[in-house]
Amino acid sequence: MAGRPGLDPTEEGKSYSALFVLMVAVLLVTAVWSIWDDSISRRPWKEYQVQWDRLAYDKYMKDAADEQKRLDADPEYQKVSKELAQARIERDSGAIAARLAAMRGQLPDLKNVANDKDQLVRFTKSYLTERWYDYNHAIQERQDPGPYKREIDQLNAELARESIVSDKAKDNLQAVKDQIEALNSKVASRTDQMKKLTAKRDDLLDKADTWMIPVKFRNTVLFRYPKIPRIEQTAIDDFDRNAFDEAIARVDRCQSCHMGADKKGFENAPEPFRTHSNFDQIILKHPPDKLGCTPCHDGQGPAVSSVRVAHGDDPDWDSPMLRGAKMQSRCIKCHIDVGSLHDAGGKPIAANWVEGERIFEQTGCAGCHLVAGYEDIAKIGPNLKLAAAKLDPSWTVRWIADPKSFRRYSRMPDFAFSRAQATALAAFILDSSSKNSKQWLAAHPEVATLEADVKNPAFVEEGKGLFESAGCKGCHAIDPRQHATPVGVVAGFGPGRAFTAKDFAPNLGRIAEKTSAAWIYAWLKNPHDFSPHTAMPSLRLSDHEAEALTAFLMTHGKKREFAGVETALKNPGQIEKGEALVRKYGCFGCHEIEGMDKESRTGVELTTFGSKHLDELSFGNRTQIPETWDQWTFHKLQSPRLYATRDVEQVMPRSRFDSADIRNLVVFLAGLTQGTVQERYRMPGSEHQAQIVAGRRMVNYYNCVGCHIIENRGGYISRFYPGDQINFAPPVLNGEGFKVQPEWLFAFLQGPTPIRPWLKIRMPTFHFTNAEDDTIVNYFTALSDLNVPYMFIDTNLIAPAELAAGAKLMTKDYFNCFSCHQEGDKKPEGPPSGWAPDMALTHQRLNPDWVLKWIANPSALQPGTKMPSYYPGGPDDILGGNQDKQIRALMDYMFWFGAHPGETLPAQMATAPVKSEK
Amino acid sequence: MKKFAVVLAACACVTLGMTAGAGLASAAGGAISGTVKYDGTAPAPRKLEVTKDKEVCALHPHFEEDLIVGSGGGIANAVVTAKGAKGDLKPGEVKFDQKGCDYTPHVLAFPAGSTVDIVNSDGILHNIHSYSTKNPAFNMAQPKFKKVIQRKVEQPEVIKITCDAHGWMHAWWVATDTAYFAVTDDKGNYSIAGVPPGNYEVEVWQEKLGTQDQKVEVKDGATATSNFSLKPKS
Repeated sequence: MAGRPGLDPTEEGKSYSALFVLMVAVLLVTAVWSIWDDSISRRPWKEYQVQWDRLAYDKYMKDAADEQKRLDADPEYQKVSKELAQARIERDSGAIAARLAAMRGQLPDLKNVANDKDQLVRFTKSYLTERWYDYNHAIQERQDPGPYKREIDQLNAELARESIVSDKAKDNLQAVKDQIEALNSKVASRTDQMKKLTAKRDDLLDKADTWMIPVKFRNTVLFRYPKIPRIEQTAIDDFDRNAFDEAIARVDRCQSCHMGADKKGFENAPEPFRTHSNFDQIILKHPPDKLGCTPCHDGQGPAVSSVRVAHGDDPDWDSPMLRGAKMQSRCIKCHIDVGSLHDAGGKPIAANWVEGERIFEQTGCAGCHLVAGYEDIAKIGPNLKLAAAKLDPSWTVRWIADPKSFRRYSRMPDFAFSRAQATALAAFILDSSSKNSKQWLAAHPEVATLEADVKNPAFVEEGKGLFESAGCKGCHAIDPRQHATPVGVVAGFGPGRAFTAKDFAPNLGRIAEKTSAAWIYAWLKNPHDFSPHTAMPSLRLSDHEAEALTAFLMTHGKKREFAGVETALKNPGQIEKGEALVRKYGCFGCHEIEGMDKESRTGVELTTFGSKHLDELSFGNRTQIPETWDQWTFHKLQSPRLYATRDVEQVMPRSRFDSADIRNLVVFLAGLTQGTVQERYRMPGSEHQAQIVAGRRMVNYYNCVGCHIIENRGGYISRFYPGDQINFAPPVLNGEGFKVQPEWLFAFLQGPTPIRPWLKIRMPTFHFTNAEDDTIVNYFTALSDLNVPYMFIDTNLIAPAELAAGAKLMTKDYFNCFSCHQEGDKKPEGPPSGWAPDMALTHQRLNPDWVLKWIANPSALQPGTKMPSYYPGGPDDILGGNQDKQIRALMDYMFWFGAHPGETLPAQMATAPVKSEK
Repeated sequence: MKKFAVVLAACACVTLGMTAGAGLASAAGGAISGTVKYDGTAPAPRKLEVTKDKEVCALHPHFEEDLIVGSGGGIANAVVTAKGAKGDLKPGEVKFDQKGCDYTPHVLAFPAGSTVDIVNSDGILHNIHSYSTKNPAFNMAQPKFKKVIQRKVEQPEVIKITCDAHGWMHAWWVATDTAYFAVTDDKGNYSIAGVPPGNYEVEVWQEKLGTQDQKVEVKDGATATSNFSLKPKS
């Protein structure tokens, strides 16, 4: 072949088929690879779902088998299955079977006949309608309706005839059906019974079928195949709102792998299939199909391409999945009262967050850092406007330079001031307070006898007794190695250990080094006079008691003056330097300082600290610290000036927190996030919740928990009352809101009156404002979840027979109440360790509903109480042996005799026959 | 009539209680017996002060019963159990009396599942306060009109019992997990009969001195001896 001109015959003769085949092969491989990649390698969740299908199937089949085993052992099941089998045999054999077969054979014919006859009736009815139309139409068109009327009459007659035939055909059919049903009834009723008995097993088998789908042939499962994997997702288009109040949508696909999270029974399955922990509280109350997962867990909700990416552990993703305790930081987004959240077993759900918040409040963080919601926390340090009236100058310098060497558990953080800086600061503090102090000292001259009495060993001894017994030890320790009420974990406490926990109130072990006897005396007599906002209460000490206590405290520590201190502190240059330092380091965050009431906080605002991006956090030169929010925050709290460089100074003081405390603080800080959750997703904030939060903060501020157990926390002083002595310790206040009348509690907090006069420990007077008092009363009422906190009882309206019965029940022959209870001025027999409160106070102090429950079963309200439970059933000869009536009578009588002191039951009452049905 | 029935029941359980306390006198098996002695100086009896209800409680002097050492050095009221000895627990009814503001007996041992008949012979208000953890704790008033309270103890446990109305009153209930146990007498002697042959750890418990174990082999028809010597806890 010559080929066309211009074409190269050698080129023309070349074969490209090899290349072609190659390219086709490449294309094919690429196509297969792309399908593979798209549906398998980038879909790891599919593999998880298949694993899940097998796991769930195995579990449900096993449960079904177990249930079957249980059924096999159940006599009722055995009975019903025997009866069912018997009924089947009866039905399916002999004459009955033949009859059934015959009747079933008749059914098609009967059905056909009935249908045919019915159809005729229907047709006739249609013709009738048609003729009626014609008839009406003829009248309206002014034509003769006569023929139509005749036809109608004829059709009506036909219809009547046909109806009779049709009804008969239907009856015939029904009769045969009824007979069949009657013959079948025994089997049917047993089958129903069976269904009820096996409902649980059948449900389990159904569940097994959903995950491994059976392919059946005549009720036999040939094989099963796993459910076709598909993305499980929850879309919430408006969960949270950004800073511009725009809705932020979320799509969570977490359950595409975490298939068992919302199903009970997979508690021991391996992840990602395990049942969610705290199922009843978390899953049932926060259904994942409505709320998704990331509102609490964070992570990258929509991502499913790999575990790492889905969990948000990617440098480009802002909110990596929260792990461990840090998850607790999300509760606050929707719940006002996080502290009351408990799991089914009563354990706090957000214990770390709660502890973190407490440390934040009680170590003074809010003094320097503004955080929305925590602006109004009172300053935690002592008032320095009268510093010169209180402090020893040499001590002041030493203290500022190194607080921990004087009090190792002090809440005062370490600013690492040099001796020169400390001197300047002391100079300013003492100078700025000198004018106020002079006035105060003039108004509070030293008691003439104090100097001599302080040196009197008898006074010291008496003061020691007071310190041990009056309640000082609820807040103050005096042994330098001990603590009273700790702030933060106590794990590090002890000689030779890191001194990480803080004391709520100062340790008094070296108090005489710091101040004078005159100041201690004046302070003990009236703390509020010296410092209006102090948490220190008045113990209502007599002058003599205050002197004794002063004498005892003055034996702890000795003045240590250093040379030239007076001149150094008077130096105007020093004073000026000191003022600058106070402003720079923000001492007024915790202390009231003359002339600095209006200063703003020196620290960074932390309201949205938890949402800070990594590029907003400077790591300085600390390249060894992993660049995460958690790590930055942890190390910042551990060594606050760690990230300082030559050019960037940092002034935050060091609090020497235990690492457990830091972890709790990190959880709390992580909860300070940007953006708000839509109202309808939040837990509706009740008034009670707000009252609990406010009250809890006040209880922390005044350290009520130093002496009392409240919300199952605190009661630190009770360790000084071991064993039987516990009766001399302050009362437990769990459930106090239900127990006492709010009016009584309000008045008691204003001016405590003794309820248990034998106690040496005293409820102090805190000088609460009415608003503060209300906050505490409302706190207890809200904790008991009471809406109508107190039901009034008019003691004049109690029936005489009721009073007589109550009085009788209290006598020695019955419950002998006054064996332990004080009765007005009358003390019980025996030692005070066995005594119980004055019953005459009950009518104005206790809630009647509480009294009823208390008498019936005291241990239910206060575990471990010495008060025994009412004898079940009570005596037969009073009020017809009715326990409820007897307890009611006891309560009524108790209220009556308290409200009518000195009165005896009128004669006719005392002798009135006590109603008895016997 | 009802009261009479209660009294009858109380009498019945007294007799039952006695046989249960003595262990099981079954024909087969061997016995374990011995003495529990105190390795120390016997404490002088400490008189307890009666502070209330003297017309009933002060009729006889009260002494601390937490460690009673007899003349031969034997410790009374110690409970000896053959640990792990298998067999029917045979729970029954045992009597626990409050008489003259004392508990009788001071140490009451019984197989778990037994019912304790708490009798108030004093006719004044007592209360029975149990410090139990495995069994439900209770604290019940027992006024004069209630002569007998019945309380079933399901789980094996050593339970302290006190009366809060009379601070000096305290006693122990020992619910055992075996039917083979005994409480020592005034001389510190005990004997457990009818123990199935085998190797056992015999444990003695005393409220103040704690527990001590000993291994013993029981043979059919023979009496194995297991003597204990308890030291004061330091």
